[in-house]
Amino acid sequence: MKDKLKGIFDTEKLDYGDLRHEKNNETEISIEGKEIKNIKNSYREGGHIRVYNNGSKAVGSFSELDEAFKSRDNLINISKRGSEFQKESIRLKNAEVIKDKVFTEVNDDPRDYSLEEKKDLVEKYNELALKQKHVVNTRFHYRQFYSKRYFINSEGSEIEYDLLGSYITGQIFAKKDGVVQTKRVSFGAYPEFSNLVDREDDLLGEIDILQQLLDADPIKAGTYPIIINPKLAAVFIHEAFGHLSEADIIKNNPAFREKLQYGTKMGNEILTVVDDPGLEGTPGHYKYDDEGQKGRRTELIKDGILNGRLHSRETAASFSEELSGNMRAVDCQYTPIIRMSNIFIENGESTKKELFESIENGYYLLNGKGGQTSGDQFTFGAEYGYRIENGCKKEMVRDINISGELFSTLQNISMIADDLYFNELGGCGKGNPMQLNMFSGTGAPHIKLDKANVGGK
Amino acid sequence: MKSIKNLKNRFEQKEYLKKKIDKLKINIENWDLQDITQENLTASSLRVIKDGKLGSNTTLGESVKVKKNLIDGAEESADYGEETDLVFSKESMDKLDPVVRENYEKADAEKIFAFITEVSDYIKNKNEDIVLNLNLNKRYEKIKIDTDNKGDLKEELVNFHFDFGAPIPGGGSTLYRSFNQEKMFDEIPKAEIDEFLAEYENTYEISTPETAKMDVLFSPRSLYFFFISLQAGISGRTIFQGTSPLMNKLDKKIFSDKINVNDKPQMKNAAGRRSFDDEGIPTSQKEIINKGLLKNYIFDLEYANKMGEKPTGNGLKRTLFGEGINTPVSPNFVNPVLEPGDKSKKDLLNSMDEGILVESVIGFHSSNYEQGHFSVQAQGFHVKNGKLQGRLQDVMIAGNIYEDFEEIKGVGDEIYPNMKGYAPYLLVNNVSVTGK
Repeated sequence: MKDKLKGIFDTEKLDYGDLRHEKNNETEISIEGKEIKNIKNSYREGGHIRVYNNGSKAVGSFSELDEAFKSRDNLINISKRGSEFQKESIRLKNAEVIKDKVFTEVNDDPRDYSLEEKKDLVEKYNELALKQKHVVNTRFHYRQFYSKRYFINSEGSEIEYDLLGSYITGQIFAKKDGVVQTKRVSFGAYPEFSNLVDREDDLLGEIDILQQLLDADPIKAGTYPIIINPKLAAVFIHEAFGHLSEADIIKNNPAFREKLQYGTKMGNEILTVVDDPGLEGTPGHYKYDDEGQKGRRTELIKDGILNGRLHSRETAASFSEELSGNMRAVDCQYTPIIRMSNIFIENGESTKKELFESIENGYYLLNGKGGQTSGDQFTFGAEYGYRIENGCKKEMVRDINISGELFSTLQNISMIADDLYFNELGGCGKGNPMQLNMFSGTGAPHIKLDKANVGGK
Repeated sequence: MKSIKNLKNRFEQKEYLKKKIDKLKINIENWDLQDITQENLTASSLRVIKDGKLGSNTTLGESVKVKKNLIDGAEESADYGEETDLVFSKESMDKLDPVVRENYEKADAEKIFAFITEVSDYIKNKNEDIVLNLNLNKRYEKIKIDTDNKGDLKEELVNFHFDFGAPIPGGGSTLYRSFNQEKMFDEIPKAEIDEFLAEYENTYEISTPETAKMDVLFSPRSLYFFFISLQAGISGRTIFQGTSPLMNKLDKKIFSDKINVNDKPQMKNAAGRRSFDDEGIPTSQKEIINKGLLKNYIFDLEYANKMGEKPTGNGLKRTLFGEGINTPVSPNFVNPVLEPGDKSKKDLLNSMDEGILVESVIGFHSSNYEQGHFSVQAQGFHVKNGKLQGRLQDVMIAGNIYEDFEEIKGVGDEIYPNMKGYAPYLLVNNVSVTGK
């Protein structure tokens, strides 16, 4: 492969070029109800080239290695045409030339287990779930992804690196008196496979919640003070703030660039938000991004003040800010885009008990159920919640979605507990076409919002 | 390809699906060129039956190693697969057409940039203060399926997609319009641009309604959430698994009699159109909802087989947010169409005393959408006495399509594309809106 790519950027027809080639192994096991729907070890390979020429950029994916040079020439030609249309030249931030080989170190490697062993593990959880009262259906999924990547650029960088992770997710359906409710369960292994085994008690705990949801009432729409648990607060900071810290989202939006200047007060001084790919054992851990840059810890909000941003070389040049190493592609056919590595809210100084005691009438909302961001507007779901009355947890509620606007919502974070927790499973969707990234982690302690817009009937 | 064709000594049956995909996309942000993206990929899927058990595998590329892994992986998959009596497609169809590739090639970068320039100039002359974002992409796809049952199907498709939009002032979400067709665009959609810019004028002020039940006018673009919920309800998969809210509801009224939905797989210019599905079953037009009555479910090979039904040509490798070779086949709409009614958008607005126009919804997948629930942030406009008052902020709508869509005040007279299919404007009354 390296021989075939040798000299691909030995041309004077481009200002900058880089290429990433991937050999990817994926294991998937899907079980629905009592049936195995999908079980396979698959292999794929492909590459992606980026060409910068006369201030314009063209990128392309190919599946055949023999097509790499042809793809490069096509991109050079089209970028030339693009440069005639380009008004403001696209520049890249100067970066270090890196030659390195770095591979994941793992004690309990998921690749050492057979397909049958993995199937047996997922079947065990599935059968346990199906035995429980009111459970009518299950969807369990095991995914393991190993990507061996080779990056070269026209400046002389040459990096070999990899990504390894696996997880088990389950969606469990329960039905009672015509009401169907679902509950998700997820176990993550980044990369230690041992994290996925002996999780029966965790699974039964989630099913117990599901059974209670069948009798819970939908939440009443309105604006309330809320406490959100770490699993949900982590999704909240990812959706509500994290995406707007990705510089490619705001690069060409003058209003956001104006609003999101360093030094802007984003929240109370108790709020510090960090992105850090250096945290081993988390979904978003890596040394190099897919643009050949070192992943770095970035304090996005420090003591309530906007302090950092996630960058590519292109956006770092455009904003005249520091590189952060956050350009990532989920698979060989995709171009890298700016992604959060592990975003989290730093611990506060309050206790969870103090958060509860501060609320007369409100809600305690738990666990993320997906979210979406559009500009500064966000929506995310909570799997379940409890009404709070005079500081005490009362009856369970369901069908909970929260929406809001970034800037006012962050100002509403009034208390942060001291129990930081990282979600086991990574996940984020971004881009067009959508790139679903399992290597994006989130974390948070319990937090309190003085008011939040909760949807419902 | 040869090695995959001759597998009779290893498997009882095989189904080989190959897609060659070429794409070119030009992306303009804030009036300037941001990205040029091309893609030249070959993706394949192999399903096999060995010792009566089903196995499958997928890949990208065509190298010797890739093909060997594809076949060996499918065999290993079958070792652990479910027992099956599936019979892969016996159909043959040849929809290869040199004109399709010609149309793709003819629309070169020169022509695409010329069209983009023309559209940009037209919009700039009307309103140079907006932040214009624009995408134009062309996609060529050659799909081939062959099976051991003499199934032999081929199709070439080309699609051109164009959308333009602008973030609302202050930086929020983007309002947009989109277009699909089989040939390169040659005329600027001036009427749609003018209508968009007129609507955009109402984004500068914020106007939030009081929390109440009120009229909600859903734009065609926002109604993809309706298709996704309905698809989950009529899917042979959820019917078989007992989780569909539409079990035993055939010929029963589930929506207002103003609602008619058809799956139109061969509709001209539709981006999702297909002559056969990803299992080599020919597609055909199907009535899903007729005057509010549920008329049909949709099946892929597997669930048709399990339920003693015929496959409906809806077995596709699509997901909630896209499609991919790696996605297992499941019952999906090919190209759902919520049929138009007889009201113009203006008529529908004029019939509203107070309500909201929903241009897009955020976060629908966080709801229990398989059961028809929605609880989403609404992006759009506050409407009073038929007039747009200003853009919505911090407004949510919540309900269930199987309850709220029983009361429809009016259906728009034109359909427009969205992420899943085509829909008109749809005025629903008495929807729960959380505002001030």
